[in-house]
Amino acid sequence: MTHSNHRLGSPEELLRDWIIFNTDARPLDPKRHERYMQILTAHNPVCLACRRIEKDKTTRYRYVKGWEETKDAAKLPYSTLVEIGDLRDIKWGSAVYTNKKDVEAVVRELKEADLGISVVVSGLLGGVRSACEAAGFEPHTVNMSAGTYGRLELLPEARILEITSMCGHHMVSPYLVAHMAREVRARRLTLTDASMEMARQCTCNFFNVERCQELLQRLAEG
Amino acid sequence: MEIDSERCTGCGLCLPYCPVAAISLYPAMGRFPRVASIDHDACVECGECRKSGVCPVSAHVQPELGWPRILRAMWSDPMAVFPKTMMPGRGTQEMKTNDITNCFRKGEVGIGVELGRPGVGTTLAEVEKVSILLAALGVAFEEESPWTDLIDTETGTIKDRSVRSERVLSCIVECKAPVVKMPEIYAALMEAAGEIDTVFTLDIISRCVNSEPEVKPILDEARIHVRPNGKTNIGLGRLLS
Repeated sequence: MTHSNHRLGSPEELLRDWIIFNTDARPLDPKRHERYMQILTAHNPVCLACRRIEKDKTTRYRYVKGWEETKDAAKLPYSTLVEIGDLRDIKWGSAVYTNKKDVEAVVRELKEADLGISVVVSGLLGGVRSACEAAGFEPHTVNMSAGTYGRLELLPEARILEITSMCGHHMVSPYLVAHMAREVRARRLTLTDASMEMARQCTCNFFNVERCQELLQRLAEG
Repeated sequence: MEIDSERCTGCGLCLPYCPVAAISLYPAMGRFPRVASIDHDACVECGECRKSGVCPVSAHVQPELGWPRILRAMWSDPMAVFPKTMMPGRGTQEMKTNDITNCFRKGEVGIGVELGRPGVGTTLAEVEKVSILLAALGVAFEEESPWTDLIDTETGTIKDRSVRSERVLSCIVECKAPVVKMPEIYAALMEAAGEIDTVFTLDIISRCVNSEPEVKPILDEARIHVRPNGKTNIGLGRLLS
Protein backbone atom coordinates (compact mmCIF):
# COMPACT_ATOMS: atom_id res chain seq x y z
CA MET A 1 0.00 0.00 0.00
CA THR A 2 2.74 2.43 0.87
CA HIS A 3 5.38 1.36 -1.61
CA SER A 4 6.51 4.84 -2.70
CA ASN A 5 4.62 6.99 -0.22
CA HIS A 6 7.27 7.70 2.38
CA ARG A 7 10.39 8.76 0.50
CA LEU A 8 12.22 11.11 2.80
CA GLY A 9 14.05 14.31 1.91
CA SER A 10 13.60 18.05 1.74
CA PRO A 11 11.16 19.46 -0.85
CA GLU A 12 14.19 20.72 -2.82
CA GLU A 13 15.66 17.21 -2.96
CA LEU A 14 12.30 15.64 -3.78
CA LEU A 15 12.13 17.87 -6.86
CA ARG A 16 14.56 15.30 -8.29
CA ASP A 17 12.59 12.22 -7.27
CA TRP A 18 9.46 11.17 -9.17
CA ILE A 19 8.01 7.76 -9.94
CA ILE A 20 5.33 6.87 -12.46
CA PHE A 21 3.76 3.41 -12.50
CA ASN A 22 0.56 1.58 -13.26
CA THR A 23 -1.53 -1.08 -11.56
CA ASP A 24 -4.45 -2.56 -13.38
CA ALA A 25 -7.86 -3.57 -12.19
CA ARG A 26 -9.13 -4.17 -15.70
CA PRO A 27 -8.56 -6.80 -18.37
CA LEU A 28 -5.08 -6.65 -19.79
CA ASP A 29 -4.50 -4.92 -23.11
CA PRO A 30 -0.85 -5.43 -24.18
CA LYS A 31 -1.10 -2.92 -27.04
CA ARG A 32 -2.10 -0.11 -24.70
CA HIS A 33 0.63 -1.09 -22.28
CA GLU A 34 3.22 -1.05 -25.07
CA ARG A 35 2.25 2.53 -25.88
CA TYR A 36 2.32 3.38 -22.17
CA MET A 37 5.82 1.95 -21.87
CA GLN A 38 7.01 3.83 -24.96
CA ILE A 39 5.88 7.10 -23.36
CA LEU A 40 7.67 6.29 -20.08
CA THR A 41 10.83 5.36 -21.98
CA ALA A 42 10.92 8.53 -24.09
CA HIS A 43 11.45 11.07 -21.30
CA ASN A 44 14.84 10.40 -19.69
CA PRO A 45 14.02 7.91 -16.93
CA VAL A 46 16.89 7.07 -14.58
CA CYS A 47 15.27 3.72 -13.73
CA LEU A 48 12.71 1.71 -15.63
CA ALA A 49 11.05 -1.63 -15.01
CA CYS A 50 8.41 -3.65 -16.76
CA ARG A 51 6.88 -7.09 -16.79
CA ARG A 52 6.28 -8.92 -20.01
CA ILE A 53 4.00 -11.88 -20.62
CA GLU A 54 5.82 -14.65 -22.43
CA LYS A 55 3.52 -17.61 -23.05
CA ASP A 56 2.43 -18.66 -19.57
CA LYS A 57 5.10 -16.85 -17.59
CA THR A 58 5.96 -13.27 -16.72
CA THR A 59 9.49 -11.94 -17.17
CA ARG A 60 10.79 -8.78 -15.52
CA TYR A 61 13.01 -6.30 -17.35
CA ARG A 62 14.99 -3.53 -15.67
CA TYR A 63 17.02 -0.52 -16.71
CA VAL A 64 19.15 1.65 -14.44
CA LYS A 65 20.96 4.68 -15.84
CA GLY A 66 24.71 4.18 -15.86
CA TRP A 67 24.69 0.42 -15.31
CA GLU A 68 26.94 -0.11 -18.33
CA GLU A 69 29.69 1.86 -16.57
CA THR A 70 29.83 -0.30 -13.45
CA LYS A 71 32.60 -2.78 -12.90
CA ASP A 72 30.26 -5.79 -12.95
CA ALA A 73 28.07 -4.55 -15.82
CA ALA A 74 28.24 -7.82 -17.74
CA LYS A 75 26.87 -9.76 -14.75
CA LEU A 76 23.99 -7.38 -14.03
CA PRO A 77 20.50 -8.34 -15.22
CA TYR A 78 19.76 -5.01 -16.91
CA SER A 79 18.49 -4.06 -20.36
CA THR A 80 19.01 -0.89 -22.37
CA LEU A 81 16.23 1.69 -22.84
CA VAL A 82 16.05 0.75 -26.52
CA GLU A 83 15.59 -2.94 -25.69
CA ILE A 84 12.78 -2.16 -23.24
CA GLY A 85 11.16 0.29 -25.66
CA ASP A 86 11.01 -2.48 -28.28
CA LEU A 87 9.33 -5.05 -25.99
CA ARG A 88 5.86 -6.36 -26.81
CA ASP A 89 3.18 -7.97 -24.60
CA ILE A 90 3.90 -5.73 -21.60
CA LYS A 91 1.55 -5.75 -18.65
CA TRP A 92 3.13 -3.44 -16.04
CA GLY A 93 5.68 -0.68 -16.09
CA SER A 94 7.33 1.92 -13.89
CA ALA A 95 9.87 4.69 -14.31
CA VAL A 96 11.83 7.05 -12.06
CA TYR A 97 12.56 10.62 -13.16
CA THR A 98 14.73 13.37 -11.77
CA ASN A 99 13.26 16.30 -13.66
CA LYS A 100 9.77 17.69 -13.20
CA LYS A 101 9.59 18.76 -16.86
CA ASP A 102 9.98 15.10 -17.89
CA VAL A 103 7.14 14.15 -15.54
CA GLU A 104 4.94 16.87 -17.02
CA ALA A 105 5.70 15.60 -20.53
CA VAL A 106 4.85 11.99 -19.58
CA VAL A 107 1.58 13.05 -17.93
CA ARG A 108 0.61 15.16 -20.95
CA GLU A 109 1.37 12.36 -23.43
CA LEU A 110 -0.44 9.74 -21.34
CA LYS A 111 -3.51 11.99 -21.28
CA GLU A 112 -3.34 12.51 -25.04
CA ALA A 113 -2.86 8.77 -25.67
CA ASP A 114 -6.09 8.04 -23.71
CA LEU A 115 -5.06 4.48 -22.83
CA GLY A 116 -7.58 3.94 -20.01
CA ILE A 117 -4.81 2.63 -17.72
CA SER A 118 -4.69 3.61 -14.04
CA VAL A 119 -1.51 5.62 -13.55
CA VAL A 120 0.02 6.70 -10.25
CA VAL A 121 2.60 9.46 -9.92
CA SER A 122 4.63 9.55 -6.70
CA GLY A 123 6.37 12.74 -5.70
CA LEU A 124 5.63 16.26 -4.51
CA LEU A 125 1.83 16.43 -4.44
CA GLY A 126 1.75 20.06 -5.63
CA GLY A 127 4.01 19.20 -8.56
CA VAL A 128 1.82 16.30 -9.65
CA ARG A 129 -1.29 18.43 -9.31
CA SER A 130 0.20 21.17 -11.51
CA ALA A 131 1.34 18.59 -14.09
CA CYS A 132 -2.23 17.28 -14.32
CA GLU A 133 -3.72 20.76 -14.53
CA ALA A 134 -1.22 21.75 -17.24
CA ALA A 135 -2.44 18.72 -19.23
CA GLY A 136 -6.04 19.83 -18.75
CA PHE A 137 -7.40 17.56 -16.04
CA GLU A 138 -7.65 17.13 -12.27
CA PRO A 139 -6.05 14.30 -10.25
CA HIS A 140 -8.40 11.64 -8.91
CA THR A 141 -7.17 10.35 -5.53
CA VAL A 142 -4.16 10.99 -3.30
CA ASN A 143 -2.38 8.91 -0.69
CA MET A 144 -0.65 11.22 1.78
CA SER A 145 2.11 10.34 4.19
CA ALA A 146 1.19 11.55 7.66
CA GLY A 147 4.55 10.65 9.17
CA THR A 148 6.25 8.04 11.32
CA TYR A 149 5.42 7.39 15.00
CA GLY A 150 6.22 5.04 17.85
CA ARG A 151 9.75 4.09 18.90
CA LEU A 152 11.59 6.51 16.63
CA GLU A 153 14.85 5.81 18.48
CA LEU A 154 14.96 2.47 16.61
CA LEU A 155 15.33 4.23 13.25
CA PRO A 156 18.69 4.76 11.55
CA GLU A 157 19.91 8.32 11.10
CA ALA A 158 17.96 10.54 8.72
CA ARG A 159 20.70 10.66 6.06
CA ILE A 160 20.58 6.86 5.79
CA LEU A 161 16.77 6.80 5.79
CA GLU A 162 16.73 9.17 2.84
CA ILE A 163 18.48 6.43 0.87
CA THR A 164 16.73 3.35 2.27
CA SER A 165 13.25 4.88 1.89
CA MET A 166 13.79 4.99 -1.89
CA CYS A 167 13.13 1.24 -1.82
CA GLY A 168 9.57 1.05 -0.53
CA HIS A 169 9.89 -2.58 0.51
CA HIS A 170 13.04 -1.70 2.46
CA MET A 171 15.23 -4.21 0.66
CA VAL A 172 18.11 -1.74 0.79
CA SER A 173 19.43 -2.33 4.28
CA PRO A 174 20.63 0.64 6.39
CA TYR A 175 23.73 -1.45 7.21
CA LEU A 176 24.44 -1.79 3.48
CA VAL A 177 24.18 2.00 3.07
CA ALA A 178 26.66 2.54 5.91
CA HIS A 179 28.95 -0.14 4.47
CA MET A 180 28.83 1.42 0.99
CA ALA A 181 29.59 4.87 2.42
CA ARG A 182 32.70 3.39 4.10
CA GLU A 183 33.75 1.70 0.84
CA VAL A 184 33.39 4.98 -1.07
CA ARG A 185 35.27 6.89 1.62
CA ALA A 186 38.12 4.36 1.44
CA ARG A 187 38.07 4.62 -2.38
CA ARG A 188 37.44 0.89 -2.74
CA LEU A 189 34.21 1.62 -4.66
CA THR A 190 33.13 4.49 -6.90
CA LEU A 191 29.87 6.33 -6.17
CA THR A 192 28.39 4.75 -9.29
CA ASP A 193 29.33 1.20 -8.28
CA ALA A 194 28.14 1.66 -4.71
CA SER A 195 24.81 3.20 -5.77
CA MET A 196 24.28 0.50 -8.36
CA GLU A 197 24.88 -2.19 -5.76
CA MET A 198 22.12 -0.69 -3.63
CA ALA A 199 19.80 -0.17 -6.61
CA ARG A 200 20.24 -3.84 -7.47
CA GLN A 201 18.55 -4.85 -4.21
CA CYS A 202 15.35 -2.90 -4.98
CA THR A 203 13.10 -5.53 -6.53
CA CYS A 204 10.66 -3.00 -8.02
CA ASN A 205 13.42 -0.77 -9.43
CA PHE A 206 11.95 2.35 -7.80
CA PHE A 207 15.35 3.22 -6.30
CA ASN A 208 16.53 6.57 -7.68
CA VAL A 209 20.14 5.75 -8.45
CA GLU A 210 21.03 9.31 -9.45
CA ARG A 211 19.72 10.83 -6.21
CA CYS A 212 21.41 8.02 -4.31
CA GLN A 213 24.80 9.07 -5.64
CA GLU A 214 24.33 12.61 -4.33
CA LEU A 215 23.14 11.40 -0.92
CA LEU A 216 25.87 8.79 -0.66
CA GLN A 217 28.57 11.30 -1.52
CA ARG A 218 27.44 13.50 1.36
CA LEU A 219 27.32 10.50 3.67
CA ALA A 220 30.81 9.38 2.63
CA GLU A 221 32.17 12.87 3.20
CA GLY A 222 30.85 12.67 6.76
CA MET B 1 16.64 -18.80 5.71
CA GLU B 2 19.55 -21.00 6.69
CA ILE B 3 23.29 -20.70 6.15
CA ASP B 4 25.04 -23.95 5.30
CA SER B 5 27.87 -23.98 7.87
CA GLU B 6 29.78 -26.54 5.79
CA ARG B 7 29.94 -24.14 2.87
CA CYS B 8 30.23 -20.80 4.66
CA THR B 9 33.76 -19.39 4.65
CA GLY B 10 33.03 -16.73 7.25
CA CYS B 11 33.86 -13.86 4.87
CA GLY B 12 31.03 -11.75 6.33
CA LEU B 13 30.06 -10.22 2.98
CA CYS B 14 26.38 -10.98 3.53
CA LEU B 15 26.08 -9.27 6.91
CA PRO B 16 25.25 -5.72 5.75
CA TYR B 17 22.66 -6.97 3.24
CA CYS B 18 20.27 -8.16 5.96
CA PRO B 19 17.72 -5.36 6.62
CA VAL B 20 17.23 -6.47 10.23
CA ALA B 21 20.84 -7.38 11.11
CA ALA B 22 19.92 -11.01 11.78
CA ILE B 23 23.22 -12.43 10.50
CA SER B 24 26.33 -12.62 12.71
CA LEU B 25 29.70 -14.34 12.62
CA TYR B 26 30.48 -16.99 15.25
CA PRO B 27 33.67 -18.91 16.10
CA ALA B 28 33.79 -22.29 14.38
CA MET B 29 35.86 -25.45 14.74
CA GLY B 30 35.78 -26.48 11.07
CA ARG B 31 37.77 -25.42 8.02
CA PHE B 32 37.34 -21.74 8.82
CA PRO B 33 37.79 -19.98 12.17
CA ARG B 34 34.32 -18.43 12.00
CA VAL B 35 31.07 -18.89 10.09
CA ALA B 36 27.92 -16.83 9.62
CA SER B 37 24.69 -17.83 11.28
CA ILE B 38 21.16 -16.44 11.27
CA ASP B 39 19.19 -15.48 14.38
CA HIS B 40 15.90 -17.13 13.47
CA ASP B 41 13.87 -15.03 15.90
CA ALA B 42 15.10 -11.83 14.24
CA CYS B 43 15.05 -13.13 10.63
CA VAL B 44 11.95 -11.92 8.77
CA GLU B 45 12.42 -14.33 5.83
CA CYS B 46 12.74 -11.54 3.25
CA GLY B 47 15.35 -13.62 1.41
CA GLU B 48 17.50 -10.57 0.75
CA CYS B 49 20.76 -12.26 1.84
CA ARG B 50 20.31 -15.01 -0.76
CA LYS B 51 18.82 -12.81 -3.50
CA SER B 52 21.70 -10.34 -3.24
CA GLY B 53 23.93 -13.04 -4.70
CA VAL B 54 26.78 -11.68 -2.62
CA CYS B 55 27.82 -15.03 -1.11
CA PRO B 56 30.77 -16.37 -3.13
CA VAL B 57 29.92 -19.99 -2.22
CA SER B 58 26.08 -19.81 -2.32
CA ALA B 59 25.80 -20.82 1.32
CA HIS B 60 22.34 -19.29 1.86
CA VAL B 61 19.64 -21.91 1.59
CA GLN B 62 15.92 -21.26 1.68
CA PRO B 63 14.08 -24.19 3.26
CA GLU B 64 10.35 -24.60 2.67
CA LEU B 65 8.51 -22.51 5.25
CA GLY B 66 5.62 -24.03 7.15
CA TRP B 67 2.79 -22.37 9.07
CA PRO B 68 3.05 -19.89 10.72
CA ARG B 69 6.62 -18.99 9.71
CA ILE B 70 5.52 -18.53 6.09
CA LEU B 71 3.73 -15.37 7.24
CA ARG B 72 7.16 -13.79 7.71
CA ALA B 73 7.91 -14.15 4.00
CA MET B 74 4.41 -12.93 3.11
CA TRP B 75 5.03 -9.57 4.76
CA SER B 76 8.76 -9.27 4.11
CA ASP B 77 9.63 -10.66 0.68
CA PRO B 78 8.19 -8.31 -1.98
CA MET B 79 8.00 -11.18 -4.45
CA ALA B 80 5.84 -13.35 -2.19
CA VAL B 81 2.33 -13.51 -3.62
CA PHE B 82 -0.60 -13.42 -1.23
CA PRO B 83 -3.01 -16.16 -2.37
CA LYS B 84 -6.21 -14.15 -1.86
CA THR B 85 -5.20 -11.10 -3.94
CA MET B 86 -2.64 -12.86 -6.14
CA MET B 87 -0.59 -9.69 -5.79
CA PRO B 88 3.07 -9.48 -4.80
CA GLY B 89 3.89 -7.03 -2.03
CA ARG B 90 2.38 -6.41 1.38
CA GLY B 91 -0.83 -4.60 0.58
CA THR B 92 -3.60 -4.21 -1.94
CA GLN B 93 -4.21 -2.13 -5.04
CA GLU B 94 -5.92 0.46 -2.77
CA MET B 95 -5.94 3.94 -4.34
CA LYS B 96 -3.68 2.89 -7.20
CA THR B 97 -6.73 1.77 -9.18
CA ASN B 98 -9.35 3.94 -7.49
CA ASP B 99 -10.22 5.65 -10.77
CA ILE B 100 -11.45 2.24 -11.96
CA THR B 101 -12.67 0.52 -8.79
CA ASN B 102 -14.10 3.55 -6.93
CA CYS B 103 -13.04 1.79 -3.73
CA PHE B 104 -12.60 5.12 -1.94
CA ARG B 105 -15.58 7.37 -2.62
CA LYS B 106 -16.13 10.99 -1.83
CA GLY B 107 -16.99 11.33 1.85
CA GLU B 108 -14.63 8.48 2.75
CA VAL B 109 -11.04 8.44 3.90
CA GLY B 110 -8.67 5.51 3.47
CA ILE B 111 -6.23 4.77 6.28
CA GLY B 112 -3.10 2.68 6.17
CA VAL B 113 -1.11 2.03 9.32
CA GLU B 114 2.09 0.23 8.45
CA LEU B 115 3.76 -1.27 11.51
CA GLY B 116 7.52 -1.85 11.40
CA ARG B 117 8.08 0.60 8.59
CA PRO B 118 10.63 1.93 7.75
CA GLY B 119 12.93 -1.03 8.21
CA VAL B 120 12.50 -1.71 11.93
CA GLY B 121 10.24 -4.75 11.67
CA THR B 122 7.41 -5.83 13.93
CA THR B 123 5.75 -8.81 15.50
CA LEU B 124 2.17 -9.46 14.47
CA ALA B 125 1.20 -8.93 18.12
CA GLU B 126 2.12 -5.24 17.74
CA VAL B 127 0.03 -5.03 14.57
CA GLU B 128 -2.88 -6.51 16.48
CA LYS B 129 -2.77 -3.65 18.99
CA VAL B 130 -3.49 -1.15 16.22
CA SER B 131 -6.02 -3.45 14.63
CA ILE B 132 -8.02 -3.73 17.87
CA LEU B 133 -7.90 0.04 18.31
CA LEU B 134 -9.20 0.66 14.78
CA ALA B 135 -11.94 -1.97 15.11
CA ALA B 136 -13.18 -0.25 18.26
CA LEU B 137 -13.45 2.98 16.27
CA GLY B 138 -15.76 1.25 13.80
CA VAL B 139 -13.60 1.37 10.67
CA ALA B 140 -14.23 -0.94 7.70
CA PHE B 141 -11.20 -3.18 7.16
CA GLU B 142 -10.08 -3.67 3.56
CA GLU B 143 -11.34 -7.13 2.61
CA GLU B 144 -8.54 -7.87 0.14
CA SER B 145 -5.76 -7.03 2.60
CA PRO B 146 -3.56 -9.90 3.84
CA TRP B 147 -3.91 -8.56 7.39
CA THR B 148 -7.73 -8.61 7.26
CA ASP B 149 -7.56 -12.27 6.35
CA LEU B 150 -5.92 -12.98 9.71
CA ILE B 151 -8.37 -11.18 11.99
CA ASP B 152 -11.89 -11.11 13.31
CA THR B 153 -13.00 -7.84 11.72
CA GLU B 154 -15.47 -7.11 14.54
CA THR B 155 -12.76 -7.02 17.20
CA GLY B 156 -9.53 -6.65 15.20
CA THR B 157 -8.01 -9.63 17.04
CA ILE B 158 -5.96 -12.32 15.35
CA LYS B 159 -7.99 -15.50 14.89
CA ASP B 160 -5.06 -17.94 15.09
CA ARG B 161 -3.21 -17.01 18.28
CA SER B 162 -0.16 -19.08 17.25
CA VAL B 163 0.92 -16.41 14.73
CA ARG B 164 1.22 -13.47 17.13
CA SER B 165 4.95 -13.84 17.75
CA GLU B 166 5.85 -14.02 14.06
CA ARG B 167 8.18 -11.21 13.06
CA VAL B 168 7.84 -9.39 9.71
CA LEU B 169 9.57 -6.46 8.03
CA SER B 170 6.33 -4.48 7.94
CA CYS B 171 2.61 -5.14 7.96
CA ILE B 172 -0.15 -2.79 6.83
CA VAL B 173 -3.56 -2.48 8.42
CA GLU B 174 -5.79 -1.05 5.68
CA CYS B 175 -9.25 0.34 6.34
CA LYS B 176 -11.59 3.17 5.55
CA ALA B 177 -13.97 5.40 7.47
CA PRO B 178 -16.18 8.46 6.98
CA VAL B 179 -13.96 11.46 6.30
CA VAL B 180 -15.21 13.30 9.42
CA LYS B 181 -13.82 10.52 11.66
CA MET B 182 -10.21 11.18 10.64
CA PRO B 183 -9.33 13.46 13.62
CA GLU B 184 -10.72 10.90 16.11
CA ILE B 185 -8.77 8.06 14.46
CA TYR B 186 -5.59 10.12 14.34
CA ALA B 187 -5.89 11.08 18.02
CA ALA B 188 -6.37 7.44 19.02
CA LEU B 189 -3.32 6.36 17.00
CA MET B 190 -1.18 9.10 18.55
CA GLU B 191 -2.25 7.99 22.02
CA ALA B 192 -1.40 4.37 21.20
CA ALA B 193 2.00 5.29 19.68
CA GLY B 194 3.66 5.23 23.10
CA GLU B 195 2.54 1.66 23.69
CA ILE B 196 3.66 0.22 20.36
CA ASP B 197 7.01 -1.60 20.53
CA THR B 198 8.08 -0.55 17.02
CA VAL B 199 7.54 2.32 14.60
CA PHE B 200 4.62 2.85 12.27
CA THR B 201 3.84 5.09 9.31
CA LEU B 202 0.45 6.55 8.64
CA ASP B 203 -1.20 6.91 5.22
CA ILE B 204 -4.30 8.96 4.54
CA ILE B 205 -6.15 8.42 1.27
CA SER B 206 -8.64 10.91 -0.07
CA ARG B 207 -10.52 11.62 -3.27
CA CYS B 208 -9.72 14.97 -4.84
CA VAL B 209 -12.19 17.80 -5.12
CA ASN B 210 -11.06 20.71 -7.32
CA SER B 211 -7.60 19.06 -7.44
CA GLU B 212 -7.23 19.10 -3.61
CA PRO B 213 -7.72 16.15 -1.22
CA GLU B 214 -11.28 16.28 0.09
CA VAL B 215 -9.99 15.58 3.62
CA LYS B 216 -7.51 18.49 3.61
CA PRO B 217 -9.69 21.09 5.43
CA ILE B 218 -10.39 18.51 8.15
CA LEU B 219 -6.68 17.71 8.48
CA ASP B 220 -5.83 21.41 8.63
CA GLU B 221 -8.41 22.10 11.32
CA ALA B 222 -7.21 19.14 13.40
CA ARG B 223 -3.57 20.16 12.83
CA ILE B 224 -2.72 16.82 11.25
CA HIS B 225 0.46 17.38 9.30
CA VAL B 226 1.12 15.53 6.06
CA ARG B 227 4.39 15.42 4.16
CA PRO B 228 4.68 17.34 0.85
CA ASN B 229 5.16 14.16 -1.17
CA GLY B 230 2.91 11.17 -1.64
CA LYS B 231 1.11 9.17 -4.28
CA THR B 232 -1.42 10.54 -6.74
CA ASN B 233 -3.72 8.42 -8.86
CA ILE B 234 -3.99 10.89 -11.73
CA GLY B 235 -7.31 9.48 -12.94
CA LEU B 236 -6.56 8.19 -16.42
CA GLY B 237 -8.17 4.77 -15.85
CA ARG B 238 -11.71 4.14 -17.04
CA LEU B 239 -14.38 3.13 -14.56
CA LEU B 240 -15.60 -0.45 -14.88
CA SER B 241 -19.33 -0.71 -15.44
